[in-house]
Amino acid sequence: MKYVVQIFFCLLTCSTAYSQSNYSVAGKVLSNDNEAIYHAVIQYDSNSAFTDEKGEFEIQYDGNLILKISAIGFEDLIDTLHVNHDMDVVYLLNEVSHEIGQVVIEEEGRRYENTKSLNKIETSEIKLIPSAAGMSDIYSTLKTQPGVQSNTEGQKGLVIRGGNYDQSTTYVDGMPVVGSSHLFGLLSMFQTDCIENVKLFNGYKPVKYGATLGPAIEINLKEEFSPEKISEGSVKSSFLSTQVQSKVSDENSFFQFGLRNSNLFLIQDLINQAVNNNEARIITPVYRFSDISFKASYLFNKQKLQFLYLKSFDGVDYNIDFVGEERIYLNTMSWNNKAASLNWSYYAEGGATLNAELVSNTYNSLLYSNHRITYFDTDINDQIWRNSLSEFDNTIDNLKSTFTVEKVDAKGRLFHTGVQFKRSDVSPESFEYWEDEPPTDSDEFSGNTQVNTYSGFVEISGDLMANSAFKIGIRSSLFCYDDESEFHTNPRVLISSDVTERFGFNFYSQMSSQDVHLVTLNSFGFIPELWVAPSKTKPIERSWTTGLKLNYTGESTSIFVDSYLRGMSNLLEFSENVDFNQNTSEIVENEITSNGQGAVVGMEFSLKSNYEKFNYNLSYAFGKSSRLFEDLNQGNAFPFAFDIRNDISLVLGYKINEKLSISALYTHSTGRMLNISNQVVPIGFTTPLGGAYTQWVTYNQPLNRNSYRLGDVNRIDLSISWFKEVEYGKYSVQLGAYNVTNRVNPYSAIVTIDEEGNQTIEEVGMMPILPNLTISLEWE
Amino acid sequence: MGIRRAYIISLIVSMTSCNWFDPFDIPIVEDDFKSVSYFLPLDNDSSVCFLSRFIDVFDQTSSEAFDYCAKVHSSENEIVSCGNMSADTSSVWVETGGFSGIHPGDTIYLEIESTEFDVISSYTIAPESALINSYSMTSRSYYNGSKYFDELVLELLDPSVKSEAYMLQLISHVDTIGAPSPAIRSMKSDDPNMIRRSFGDKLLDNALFFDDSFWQGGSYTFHFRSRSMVDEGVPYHFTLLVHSISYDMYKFFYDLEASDMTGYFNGGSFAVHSNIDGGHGCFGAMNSTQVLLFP
Repeated sequence: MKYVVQIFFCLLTCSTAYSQSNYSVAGKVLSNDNEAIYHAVIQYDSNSAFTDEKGEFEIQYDGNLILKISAIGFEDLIDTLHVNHDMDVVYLLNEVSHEIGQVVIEEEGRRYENTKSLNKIETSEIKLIPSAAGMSDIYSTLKTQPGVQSNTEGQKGLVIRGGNYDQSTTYVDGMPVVGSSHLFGLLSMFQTDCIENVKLFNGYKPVKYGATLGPAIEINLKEEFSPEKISEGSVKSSFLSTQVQSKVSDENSFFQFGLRNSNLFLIQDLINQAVNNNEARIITPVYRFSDISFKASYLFNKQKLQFLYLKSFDGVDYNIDFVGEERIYLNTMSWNNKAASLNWSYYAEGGATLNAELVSNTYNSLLYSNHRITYFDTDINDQIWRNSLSEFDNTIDNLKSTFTVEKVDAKGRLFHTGVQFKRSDVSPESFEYWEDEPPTDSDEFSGNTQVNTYSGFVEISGDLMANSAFKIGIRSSLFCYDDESEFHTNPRVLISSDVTERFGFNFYSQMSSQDVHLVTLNSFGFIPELWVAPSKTKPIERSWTTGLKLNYTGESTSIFVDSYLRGMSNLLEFSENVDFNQNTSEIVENEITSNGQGAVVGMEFSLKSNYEKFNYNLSYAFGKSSRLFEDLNQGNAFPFAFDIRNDISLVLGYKINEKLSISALYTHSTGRMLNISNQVVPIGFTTPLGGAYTQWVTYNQPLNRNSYRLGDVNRIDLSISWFKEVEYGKYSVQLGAYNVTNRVNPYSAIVTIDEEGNQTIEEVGMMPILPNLTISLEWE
Repeated sequence: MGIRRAYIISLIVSMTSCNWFDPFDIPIVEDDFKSVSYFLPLDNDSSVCFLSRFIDVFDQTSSEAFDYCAKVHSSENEIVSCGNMSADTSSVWVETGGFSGIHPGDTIYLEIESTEFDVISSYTIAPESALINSYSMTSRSYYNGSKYFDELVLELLDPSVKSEAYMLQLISHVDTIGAPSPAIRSMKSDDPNMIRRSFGDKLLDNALFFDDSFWQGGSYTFHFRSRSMVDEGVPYHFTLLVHSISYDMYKFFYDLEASDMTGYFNGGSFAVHSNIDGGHGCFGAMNSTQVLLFP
C-alpha cells in the first residue's frame, strides 16, 4: 500500500508540463437550428474554453487534438482533429429535452462514440421509463435493454447474459462497485442527477475492465467546468425516497454531492396489505436504503485531480408468521458499499493522456435467519419446536491501483495501455445451529482469503477501411493466491462495419478471468451466498464470448439483433448434499463443488422508434444458460439458476404537450430456476425384532438439479410527469406506480400446508404495488 | 491491416475458446424413478428387498401395477424372488438362508428385472465381522436431572486396515412373567464420533452408527446410554446388536442425517448417497453379532 501511494504521488509530482501552440483552431458551436450556443464548454487535454455570444471559440494547438464540446440542454460531442495548420470548424449540437443531463446507454461503442455508437438511448427515453422510485433510474433503464434480465426482482445486482450478478461489474468513474443496487435490484445506488452518462459493454469490453467474466457497466458521474461560478441543485421526494443533489463549479474546480434516504415507512401498511393474500401466513417485509456520493475535481497545469466517495446501505426484514402453527421465519438481509478513489490525469502534449488511479472499496452482504421449526426429539420420541439460527456474512475489501496511457497516433489510431495491481481480501462467514445449543467455540475461517492480481493491458482501435473499424486488445494477468500463481492471457477483438449508410454489423470475441467467486444456493427462501477467494481447489474462473450483432438505423427507427455464445470454466456451485450446519472452513472446503463449466446461447433484439409525439422501445432476449459439473446432477448438464428463456420489455411514451407526458413499461420474463426437491423417496426398513414387521419412511431427493421453474414475471409500471419552469429553476410532479396490477411476482418459494393439510409449494414475492408521487425542485 | 486479416485474428480468438458443451442437452430424469432399499443380513435365513417409486409430493397420481424379480448372486450362489408392485411401495422376501460361503471382501450383486423398466442393478462388498473386545452395562447410573439412564460400554477392535463401518441397535427384555414384548430402545451418546440415526423420527427407533476412521488399526471404547424404562427392582436385560455394515450403508445413513437443519426456508436441498444403477437407494450387507447385557 505504501509503495502504491508513493508511486502515485511520484507520478503526480514528476510530471512536467510543456506545450507549444503553433496553429489556430477557430470554431463555432451551433444548435441544429443554426443558432449560436453561448457558454458551450470546449474541453481538450486539461484545458477548457468557452464560446462567446456568437458561439465562437479559438484554441491554439499543434498535433492531435481531442475536443469534447458540451452545453446545457445539448448532447455532448467529441471530435478529433489533426492540427498542423490553422483551421476553422463548425459543430452542430443536438438538443435534448431532458433536464437531468445526458444519460446514454451504449453497447460496444467505438472509440469515436459521437459518430458510430450503437444502441443508443436518448435521455428523453430514459425519462419515459417508469421507475420504482418515481424518479428516473439507470437500473430501470438498463433492465429494458435486451440481455439485461428484468426478472431480477430480489437480486442485488444485474444479471446479464446467463451469468450470476457477480459477473457484471459497475464502474463509477472507473471505480468498481459490487452489488450496486437498492431494493433488491429495483434501483441503482446512483442518483440520476449525479450521472453524466452510462455505457453498457454487453459484448466487447474495453481491456481496462477485466476483473470479472461478464459485461461492464460504465457510469460516469457529472463533471462540468464553467467560466463563471455555477451553483445548481435539486431536491426530490417521493413515497420511496428523498434525495438532495447539489453541484458547484468554476473554471478549475467541480464539486458534487448527493444524498438519498428511503421513505418506505410511509407506505408500510400498504406493502403489508399488498403482499398478504394468503390467510395461512402473514408476511411483513420492511425495506430501507440510503446512499451518499461526493465528487471533487480540480484542474491545474494540464492535470486533473479527482476524488470520489460513495456509500450505500440496504436493509430488509422479511418475516413470515404461519398462522395456526408455531412456525415462524424471521429473516434479515443487508448489503453495504463503501468506496473511495483518487484519480490523477495528465494531458501531455500531442494528445497523450496519462492516468493514475487508486481505489479502495468494501462490500458486505449479510443474511441472518431465525426460524422456528419442528424437530424430532428422540428422548421424548416426539416433535418439538426449536429455533434454528443461520447467518451468511461476507466482506470483500479491494485495493486497486492503475496506471494508463492513452494516445492517438498520426493515423488516427487510439492506443490504450496500462498496468494494474489489485488486492482482494475476501472474508466469508457462515454458521447454523440450534438456538438452545450454541456452539462452544468461535470459528475462524482457515481458508485462503486473499488474491493479488498483477495485470498489464494494451488496446488499439482505429479504422480498417472506409466503412470499418476495429478494436483489438490483450489483457494479461498474474493471479497470486494461496501459494499458487496463475498467468492468464485474455485477447479480445471487435470489428465494426457499416455495409450501407443504415445497415452495419459488429463481430466481437473476447476472453475474461475472474478472481473472486460468488457461490449461491437457489432453493427455498432467500438466497444464501458465500464469496470466496481462489484456492488450490478453486482456481481462477475464465470465460469467453463471441457474438455477431446486426444493426439498422433509420431516421426514426433503430433495430439490432445480437447473437452470441458464452463459455465459462472453473465455476463453483454448492454441492448437492450441502450441509450448512458446519463451520465456514468446512463449508468452503467440503460443500462447494468446483471445476464447473457454463455454456450460454443467446439472441437479443431491440426496436426503438418514434412517431410524432409517440415513441416506443421493444426489447426481447432469448437465452439458454446451463452448467456442467462432474460431481453434480449425475454428471449431466443442468439449467443455471438464471436460465431465463424469454425476456420482453416494452416501453411506450406519449408527450401530451411540452409540459405533460405519460409513459408505461410492460415486462414479461420467464421465471428463474430453483433447486427444489419435490420428489420423495420411500425406503423400507426391517426391524431387528424379526417377523414380518417393516417400516416405510421417506426422504427428499432432487432428481434434476435446478428443475423447478418459478412462475413467469408480468408487470406493468405507469408514470405521468408534469413540470413548470420558474424564475429560479423548475419544479415538477411525477405520479405513477410500480406494478400497478399488484401481481406479486414470484421471487422464491416456501413449503406451506394447504387447506387439506397437504404439503405444497407456495411461491412468494417481494414487491407489491408501489405507488409513487414525486415532487421535485431544481434550482440554478 | 486488411479486413481479412482482422477476421482471421478474430477467428483465432474465437477458437481459443476451449470449453464448450451444448447447453440444450439436459437429460431429464423421469419422475417415475425407482428406489431400492435392501440391507442384506448375511447371517439370516431370509431378508427383505424393498422396491418403491419416487413420489411427487405436490402431484400425486396413481401408478400401474407390475411384476418384478429380484436376483441376488455372488460367485457361488444365486437366489431369485419375485413380487408385485401394486402401489408406490412393495417388498419381496428373499430366501438368503442358502446364501453360504460369503467371506468378507466378497462382492454380492443385486439385479431387479421387470418388463416395465430397464434392469436396476447394484453390488456391495461383504463387511468384516465386528471384533468385540469387551462390553459392560451399569443400571440407572446416569441422571440428567429428570431421568435415569443405563450406561453401556463397548470396546471394538479394528479387524482390518480397510474402512469399516458399524451400526448399534438395542433391544430391551423385561425378564418377568407376563412382561411386554421385547422393544427397540433409543440410544444416546456424548461421543461426537457416534452418529444417531434419528432419520425416520418415531417410525424408526434410532440406532448409533460410525466408521473406523478415528481408530483405524487399533481399538476404541464407545460409551452410550439408554433411558431406563423399567421400574427399579424389576429384572431385565438388553440385547445389543453390533452390526458390521458395508460402507455404502454407512454413507447412505450418513447422508440421511446430513440434511439441511433449517429445512424449508434456506437451503433444504441435498442428495443422498446411492449405489443403485438405474434407480436410487442403497444395497448393503451386514454381519451382526449379539451381545447380552445384564445389569
